[in-house]
Parts: sequence; structure tokens; C-alpha cells
Amino acid sequence: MLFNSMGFLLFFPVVTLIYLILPRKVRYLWLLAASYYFYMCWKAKGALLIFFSTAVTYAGGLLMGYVDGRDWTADRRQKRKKQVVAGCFILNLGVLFYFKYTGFFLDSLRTLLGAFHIPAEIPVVQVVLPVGISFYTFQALSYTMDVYRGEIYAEKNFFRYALFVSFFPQLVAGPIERSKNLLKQLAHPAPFAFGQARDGFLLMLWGFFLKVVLADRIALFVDYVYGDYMGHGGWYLIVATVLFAFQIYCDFYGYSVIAMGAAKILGIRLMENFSAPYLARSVGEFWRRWHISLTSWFKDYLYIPLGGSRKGTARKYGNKLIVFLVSGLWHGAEASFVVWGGINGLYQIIGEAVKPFRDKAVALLGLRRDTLGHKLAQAIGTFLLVDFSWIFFRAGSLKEGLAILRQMVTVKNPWILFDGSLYTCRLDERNFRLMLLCLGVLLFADICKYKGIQIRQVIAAQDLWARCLFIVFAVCFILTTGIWGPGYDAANFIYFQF
Amino acid sequence: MKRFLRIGGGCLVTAALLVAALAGLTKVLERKASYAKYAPFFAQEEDFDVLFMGSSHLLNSVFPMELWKDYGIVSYNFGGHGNQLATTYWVMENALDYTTPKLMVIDCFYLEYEMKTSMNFAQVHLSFDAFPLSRTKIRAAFDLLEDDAFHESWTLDMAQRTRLNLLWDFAVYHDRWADLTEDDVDPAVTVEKGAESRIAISTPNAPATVPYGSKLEGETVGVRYLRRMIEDCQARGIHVLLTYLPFPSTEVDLKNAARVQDIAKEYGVGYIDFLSLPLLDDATDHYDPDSHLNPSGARKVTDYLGQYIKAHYDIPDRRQDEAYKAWEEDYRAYRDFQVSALKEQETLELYLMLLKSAHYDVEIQIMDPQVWERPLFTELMENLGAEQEGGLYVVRGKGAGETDTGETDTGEVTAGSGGQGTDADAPATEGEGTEDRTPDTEGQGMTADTPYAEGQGTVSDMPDAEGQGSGSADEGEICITVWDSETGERLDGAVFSPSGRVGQEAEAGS
Repeated sequence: MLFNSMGFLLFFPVVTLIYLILPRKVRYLWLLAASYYFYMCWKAKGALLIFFSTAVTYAGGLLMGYVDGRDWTADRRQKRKKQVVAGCFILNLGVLFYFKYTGFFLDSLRTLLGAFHIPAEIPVVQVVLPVGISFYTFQALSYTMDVYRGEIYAEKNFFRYALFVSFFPQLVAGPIERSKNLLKQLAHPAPFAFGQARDGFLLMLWGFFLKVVLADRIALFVDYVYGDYMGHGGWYLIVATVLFAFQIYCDFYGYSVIAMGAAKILGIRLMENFSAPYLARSVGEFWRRWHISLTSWFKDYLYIPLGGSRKGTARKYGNKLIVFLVSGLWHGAEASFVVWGGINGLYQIIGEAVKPFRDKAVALLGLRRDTLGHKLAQAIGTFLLVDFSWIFFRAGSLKEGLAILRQMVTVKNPWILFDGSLYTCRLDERNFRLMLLCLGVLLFADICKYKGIQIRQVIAAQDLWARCLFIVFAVCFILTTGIWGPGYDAANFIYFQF
Repeated sequence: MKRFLRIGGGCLVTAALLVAALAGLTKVLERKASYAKYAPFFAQEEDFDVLFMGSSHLLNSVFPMELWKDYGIVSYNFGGHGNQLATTYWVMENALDYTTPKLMVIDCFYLEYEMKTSMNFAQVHLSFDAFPLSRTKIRAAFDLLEDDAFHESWTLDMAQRTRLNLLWDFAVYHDRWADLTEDDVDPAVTVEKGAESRIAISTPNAPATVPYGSKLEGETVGVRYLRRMIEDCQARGIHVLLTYLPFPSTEVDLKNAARVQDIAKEYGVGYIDFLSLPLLDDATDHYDPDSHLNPSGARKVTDYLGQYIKAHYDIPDRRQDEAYKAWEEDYRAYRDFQVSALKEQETLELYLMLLKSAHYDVEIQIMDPQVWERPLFTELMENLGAEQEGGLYVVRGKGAGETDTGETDTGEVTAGSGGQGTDADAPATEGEGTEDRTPDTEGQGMTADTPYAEGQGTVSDMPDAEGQGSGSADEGEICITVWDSETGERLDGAVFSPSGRVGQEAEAGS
């Protein structure tokens, strides 16, 4: 059940209404049932995997709690707990690996052996990837690590813990929550507050705007151009690549915001997942603002355990590269994702390595870093670097990514920017203009966010009539201009003849 | 408590405003085709006497405005593109929420089908969008979308096929914000009372033959819904006339038509099997090779139906009825529409095809003798019944005194009365062939009391005959002038060369 589906628009109000009617003590049970139903709408059997992950990490938590309570030496306790953590990681990552990476691993092995002319029959395996498995697996493992580190208690109530792993608003696309935040809230749910619910509703509206008005509209153009990159080289691909940066942002950010809004209506605060990332002035800052819940997960549970920046510069760079390569792999089982991660890791390593030279150059040239022009140049430079890496993210494979890059550079057709050719790529002129207008709205909102201004608070501070009109306008605008429903195919309607 | 009321009130006001805004948006964004088709139906407060139900065959074959002009019949054409009989049933049920006719004419094409709706769901929207939300419409949506045959057979446009989309079409049309035009604010509506003229001439496929006695067997979905239509009409006291409209029939159609005969007998209702009537001219009357009629064919079918209805059912002539005065105005709009269609034609053949009407006087001056070598031209001239008078070819329409007065015998067709036979009750039985059946065969000439006859006289007085008028035709051209046969008003004049239309004929003598 997608957020932008009729099913969810019926499901969510019903769940919320019953949630609010039920006594607070049992509300989590209702949410648990709703969450499993939500997930099983995709594939009922998939719920077994969530249950498995839940059971393993729940048992791991209890075991660590048991070990903590034993009258053993600290070393022995630590050792036992490490064994439990290892067991949880192996089992969970094993399942994740099987479902997500088996095909990729075998393909890579086949290519490798082939390169060395080693005869081997590697079977072709196709495993259906369960929805959201990367998200809930990481969320469950974060609990294991937090219990190990003593940052959270071992939850005894299985159902409450199961809800933490499967909480439907963020189950399939994040934010990847931490037990320190979510589990505690589920244990002590906040009473219903109209102000919070209204805020949540506004968040959901913003999320739907991002998803159905912007992301899905941009997708029409990008999919069309990337789908025929041989016929749409040069500036078609450049425009599509720039737009893709916004498509993926609006898609992912929109989904996260809807999740935050839905949770807020239920009285749960989820962590912020995006914070105006394209206004970042360095790639490092971009990653502190993009998919924050995942970046911080990797930082807390991979980068720091690897030694972080404490073991020398070379090790620090190595750790960063590992984190980004793994992050690439997390996003998709394909070499192009690894390249995408690698590029982003290299950006940061190179950026840090040349920082002394950059500083010197700035000093020599007498540039001022606090001017708008300098900040703008940094933001645009960062955007271009990040956007370049998105080419590999969007391409179906590494080979395709390189082919797209070649098409982008070798085909010269700047006139298509001005002669109306851009409007032939599934977005007509009116839709293209609307997209640009809405991107302007997004930019405005991000600048406000960057400057610490919360637009929702400004709206909430208005009189009742103004709030009413705003909500009516926003809903009508999203419903009218959003890409949803069966679609109006004028040709279909024109051709009435039987 | 005060805060609670304030919050609750705010939510209710917001919800009410939202519903109102969405309702308004739905109206604006909706595709107007369905509205354009049904607007005159909803605009009329008085009951309709006859409703025509069926598929596009009916839509293109029956012109209510002609029935009004010739017989004073107040009718509406509900034929819809791709309408299966189940769809037709629900169109009828919805229509009956707004009017109670004396006669329901149902075309039985698609009898053998198991599907309830067209494979193109846009066609279903065309048939239902304009009906306001009602209990009947909700029942229609629930029944039509429970279509096992469709799910087995088709995988097209499944995303559209939801009940919600049919009941609240905003989901389908919201994308139209980018396509809005002036027409969405002030839509043009049909002047054909639901019918649709299709302008083209095709050579029809050769009709099939089947062994005597072959007929559709079994209770298909089509048969079931036809029965429901008949039963529902009879329960409401509405007479039913079944038809199987003419087109190049396949074996299936011939079997269907035979089965409809049985069903008509079973229920004691009238039936006209047009497939077995030699009503049409194959060369001139078909829009496409296998399905629809053009206006020439449609006017013949319409006229036949008009005569049949007047002869067999107690349908009043409303032409003098004050309550239906607006129909005179509607007819003028319809005639203007016909004239504009004439003016739009770029080819001689289509122009001549459209001239097949009992309401035109036509004068054709041929300065290109080679045109007779075009077989279709000859056929079209024969279709018009053009007669040579002097150096011109002339077609005479009905004069003012020749229009049907409605004083014909009426009588309900009853089971076993012999009225079930295809031809037995048809007015055409005495004279086979189109020309014999049409009233104008008896009085081709202008009558003395027509304005035309008074003002401009008979053929010899026509402008052209005096050497003016269409004498504008040059060598190698064909010059045509058209008058309203009743009022004498000059409607159009056109000059054609072998390559097509070259201009308007000068309004000489007018």
C-alpha cells in the first residue's frame, strides 16, 4: 500500500480514528496490527521476514539484558554480548544478503571468473526483493547495537518491540528510526494534541505535493529521456540529469515527510530525514543533510566502529570510502550504485585532502567566503558534483551509466533548450512550466528551512479562515495537478469510434 | 469545551469548503463530451415520447430532429459508442429517472457478447458522466464493473475500471487542467438530440449468409440484459420496439437478428429486422465498411422508423403543442448545423451524399460531362433521385404542405398479431425500395402554397433556369444550389471541379 494510493487514504483515517478511540495502554497493539496489515498489502508472506528479524533482535536484546544481569566479569559479559550482537547481525544481514544480493553476488562472481577464464557453472538466481527489507533490517540492528552499548534498555514487551520494527509510517522507506527515539515513544505514547495533528496533516500535504505533483511529474520527463538516451543525447540528458536530482529528492523527501506527518498525527515524532540538502556548500554537508537517518546510521554503526577519524588520516579516508561503498550497495545491488557511492566517498576524501590548497588559494586571491556569490558558487558546485554521481544512480547498470555519460558529452544540441523540443518529452509546455513553478516553491521552502524558518508555524499562526482556505487550496492543487489516477489519455477519449 | 467546538467547527467548515471546491473543480475539469450529448435531454422539462437505446449503430442511424420535423415525434437518441447491452440497460435505467417515454426503441447489436462494457472505458464515461450521482447511477457502476467476462478477455485500461472513477470522474479528468478551453466553461451541446452524424462514404463488405433457422443460442449477458430492458419497460407500461439496424452483417449478426425475433415474440413486442430490408443503397449509405451509416443511410432508417412508429404506436404529434415550442427553435439550430456540414465539404461526393434529405430542393448544373464516368457520382445522383430538367438536374424535397400530419393509423403491436414479422407490419411492405417508401415519391414537384412556389415559382422560375443563378459554373465545373424545400430559403451553393471544391456559388437570384 503506497502512501499515494486510494487504499492508504482510506486506511490511515480509519487507523487513526480507532487508535484515538482505544485506551492508550492498548493502542500499540492496534498500531501493530495495522502495521502488519499495511505491509501484507504488498505481499503477505513478506511479513514472515519482518517477524523473523523482529524475533531475532528481540531475543538478542533479552539475551544481552540477561548477560548484563549475570554476576560475571565485565570482560566475560562483554564477550557474550558481542557474540549475541554478532549472531543478530549475521542472521539479519544473512537474510538481507540472500534476498537483495544473491543475484548480484553470483553475477559478479561469474564475471570475475570469466575474466580469468576460469570455467565454472554459476547458476542464475532471481530472488524477489521484499519491500522495505533494507530499512527495517537496519532499524532492528540499530536496536541490537544500542542495547549492546547500553543506550537503550532491552524491551521486554514483544509486541511493543514488534511495533518498533514494523511501525507502518516508516516501515518501507524510512526514516530508519533509532530505538532511543521511537521505542521510548511507543512505550509512553503522547496524548492526542490537535496542534500536533494539524502539524502532521500539513506535513502530509507537503509530502504529497513533493511526491505526486513534483517527483512523479519530473519522472515522466526523466524516464522518457533516460529510456531513450541514444535518441535523446546532449542537452536532453543534461536537463534530465538535473531534473533527476530533484525527482529523487522530492520522491524520497516526500515519502519521508508523509511518514513524519502520519506519525505525528498518531502522536509519534519521527526524526528529520532531509534538511535542504541541495543548499549544502560541500559534499560533506550534503551528506549531513541527505537521508540523515541512513547517514547517521552508517556513522554510528559502521564508521565509528571502524575507527572513524581517530586512527590517522589514511585510515579515516579508507573508512569514509568503505562507508560510501557500503552505502552504495545498500541502495541497490548493482555495480552502478557502488560507483555512485564510491564517487561520493572520493569527493569527500579529495575535498578534505585539497582543503589546505583551497584555503591558500582563497587567501591568495583575497576571496571572501561569507559573500552571497561565494556561497552560491559553492552550493551550485556541490549540486553539480552530486548531480554527476546521480547519473550512475539512475542508470540501470554501470555500462549504461557510461553510455549515458558519453551521449551527454558527445551530442551537441543546445538549441533544444529554446526551440520547444524539451516539451516533447512527455511533459508539454504547460506541465513543464508548472514543474518549474513548483520547483520554485520547493526552493523557497528549502531556503526557509535553511534559515530556520518553519513555514508550518507561519501557517498555524494564521486565523482560522486563512488556515481553512490554505488547506482547501493545497488539497485542491495537489489533487488537480498531481500525477495520479488512471490518467487522461486524450487520444483514448478522442477515439470513440467502435 | 469552547476550544473543542472551535476546532470541530473549523474542521467541519474546512471539510465543507473542500467538498464544494472539489465539486466545482470536477465540473470544470470534466470532459464535456457526455454533457454535450445529454444537455438537451436534461434541459427539457416535458417528457420525451420515444427514447432510442443502443450502440453506436443507433447513435449514427437515428436522427430525432428529423422525426420531429416529419412526424412531430419528441425523441432522444441515447446510443453510445461501444455500448454493450448491459451498458445500454443502465443508460436506460438512468434516463428513466428523468423521463417516462411511451415507447422505448432498443437496438440489439452486441446480443452475443458476454461483456457488460466497452473495452474502451472512455466510451463508458461518455455514456454516464453527465448523469448526476444517484442511486441508479451507483447501482450501474457496481453492476457494470462486476464484469467477469471482461476480466477474462481484456487487460486494457484496467486502472480506469473502478466504480469510483465512474461515479466521481475527477480521478480521470483532473489532468485536463492543462487542456482547458473556452468550451469547458461554455460547452457546445448537441443539436442532434443525442445523435451523431458521421460523414464519409465507404463501400460495405459483402454481407454474410446463414442457413435458414440459424440463430444465437443460449442466454448470453447481452440476451439477459435485453430481457431486463423489456421486462422493466413493460413493468412501467412503456412499449418496446426492438431493432437490428442495417449494416453489412456477419453471420453472428444474422443469427442475433433471428434470435431477437424469438425474443420479440416471447414478450409480444415489435421488432424491425433492418438486416433483411432492402432499405439502403450500398454505394452511398455507409460510413465505414462494416458498421455505421452516414447521414444518407441514417435518414432512410430514421424515416422508416418514423413511419413505423406512427403506424403502430400511439405517439402524439407535438408540432402544434405549445409545450414543445422550443423544438421549432431546436430544429432551426439543427438545420443550421446541417448547412454548416454542407459548407465544410470539400468533395463533390460527400456533398451529394449529405443532400439526401427530404427537406432540400437541389439544382445541379453539370459543366463537366466526364463526371459521369465516376461510378460513385452516378450512384449518388440516383440516390438523390435527381431528374433532368432543361440543362439542370433537379431534386425536389417536401413542400410545406407535404410534411406528415401525424394522422396515420396507430395500433399497438401485440404478440401473435402478425406484427412480429420483420416486414409484415412495416410500412414498406407495399413498396419495396427506398424511394417508394418515402412520402416525397408521390409529390416530387413543388406545391402551390410553398413560399418558394409563390415567390420564385416552379423549376422554370428558378434563378438558374433563367440563365442567372448557378450559371456561374465554368467549363469543367459542377455547380450546386440548395434551398430549403419548405421555406424556399437558399441554404448553400457550391462549385466543384474534378479536384474538389473551388468555391461558393454566387447567391444569384436570392
